[in-house]
Amino acid sequence: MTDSHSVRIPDLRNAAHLARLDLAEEEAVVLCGEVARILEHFAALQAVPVAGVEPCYTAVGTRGLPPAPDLREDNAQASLPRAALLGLAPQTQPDDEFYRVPKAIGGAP
Amino acid sequence: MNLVRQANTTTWLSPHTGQVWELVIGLEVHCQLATRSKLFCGCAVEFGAAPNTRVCAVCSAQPGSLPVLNGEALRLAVRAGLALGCSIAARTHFDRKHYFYCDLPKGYQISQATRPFCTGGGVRLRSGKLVRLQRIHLEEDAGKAIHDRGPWTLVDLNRAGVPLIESVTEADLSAPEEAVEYLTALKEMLQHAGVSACDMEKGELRCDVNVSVRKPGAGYGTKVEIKNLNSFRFVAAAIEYELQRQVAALESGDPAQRLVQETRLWDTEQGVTRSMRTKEGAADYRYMPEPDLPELQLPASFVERERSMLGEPPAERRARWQQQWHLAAKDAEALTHTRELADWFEAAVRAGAPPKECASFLLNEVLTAQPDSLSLLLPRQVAALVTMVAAGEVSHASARSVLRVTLAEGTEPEVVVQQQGLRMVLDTRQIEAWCRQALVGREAIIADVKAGKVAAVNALLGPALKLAAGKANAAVVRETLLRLIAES
Repeated sequence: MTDSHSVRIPDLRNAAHLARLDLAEEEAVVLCGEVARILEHFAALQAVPVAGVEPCYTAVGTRGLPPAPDLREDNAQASLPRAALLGLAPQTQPDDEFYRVPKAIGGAP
Repeated sequence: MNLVRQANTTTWLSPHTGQVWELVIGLEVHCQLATRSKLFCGCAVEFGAAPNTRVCAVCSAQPGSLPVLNGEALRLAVRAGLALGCSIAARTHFDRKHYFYCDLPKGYQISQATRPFCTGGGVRLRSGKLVRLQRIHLEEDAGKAIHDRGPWTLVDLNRAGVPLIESVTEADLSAPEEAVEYLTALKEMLQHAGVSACDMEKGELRCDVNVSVRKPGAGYGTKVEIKNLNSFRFVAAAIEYELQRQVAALESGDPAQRLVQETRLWDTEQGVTRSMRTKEGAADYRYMPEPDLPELQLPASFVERERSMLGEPPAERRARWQQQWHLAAKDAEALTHTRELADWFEAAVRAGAPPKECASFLLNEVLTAQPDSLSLLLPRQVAALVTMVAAGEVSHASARSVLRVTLAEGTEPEVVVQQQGLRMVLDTRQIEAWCRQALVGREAIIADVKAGKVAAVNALLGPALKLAAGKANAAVVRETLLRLIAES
């Protein structure tokens, strides 16, 4: 089982990059072994026969409509005070109107 | 490179190589739903609000906050699907789409990947071509990042969490003008269904274009995506630019110009597209089902309620008006500019106005009188006025002044006509009396008319109408003058 779920360093690095994690060489080696063991657990799950079983997409289950306790009426409510929100961000200066973040030109991926 | 469009086709000829090329275009349109509050929290959706003043724990991703779906956004998304002929999924769920950027506080966007609300459907172009829709899904908008004010990137989260639908077409479009026609029709259908105001200046409709070129009959070429076009003119210009650029690159054989699948941005100033980034493999968004929101079941009654809100599609409405009421195509087009205007016009016709005259009076007099004319008038008031004009009881000039009074004071048109004595005189004997008076001492003109110079009668028209103080119909007066001369 371990063989079919071995993890290659480049795959691990790619996953780390997507999660914006910096991995040192020795950390990568250790993690390869750990991730392989996690995948073994998933292999055990995947071995369960589920043919003909309806997929379960969410842990909180399915809600019908109506009645719909989980739908919100479209009413605007008060937002939080700006100073309180911006105060949680590390670079905020007094009287700022915006969050300040390191220069990020180039757009979303 | 200057490709030449081949007449009446969607193919282009390369003058250098004699090769024929065609375009393959698909569109992804983000449209902001007309809700008062955001998709998963109660913050107000308000364009132009002071930065970061419409933000709460949910849309700024504070730990422990949980999303709750806005019922109206769900209803509008379903209605959009119905307006475009899509199948509505009976069961659907949200997914997380992961990426890191400063305008996305959670580190993921709540969107839909595997089970969108709507699949199929499409928009038919005037040529009869069907532009098929792959899907429409519901998702939240990101915040706004500003890069050009000092050493920091500034982030405003007012827009984060605003509800959007994204509609994706198949690669069915083959010319810039087809893309523009599709977008125009899509926008109009969404507006008329009440799904969105589609105000492009407020970013309520944004378009991504996928475009590639190929030789006729060949498989798909390498496509590029041009992101975030906020005007139909730019969509057409960007497609035209890409056509020329891609064909030039392919025909050059230059490895440096080799086309790569990438995202490009439209440079409005220079009129060119620029590479934004090269995709290293497919973007890996690591979709997973959103665990904080339940799977949704949409009962048939929910879907049918939205269907009843749709109203008649604007294109069908225009066709019906032209066929039933003989409206000019131009007038039908103008009157379906908004659902509100179209409904208003129909209400006036239902109140008894003759349709053609009513269309022309609305467009030429009412809408040009003042910007908020429609909100100051009732359809039945315009119907009453137009009916009097059409029956010859009130002159056009009088109708205009009646309209002014009704707009300013709300007085019923019939009352204004009565009070100001504007009703035309239809009594034949009275009109004859004015005409006889006008003929007195005009023997020379009478002789001319009798000699066959009918136009000479026009010299008598002014005096006769003056005697009638503008309350006689000019055509009737002319007829009467000619008859009296003939009988004399």
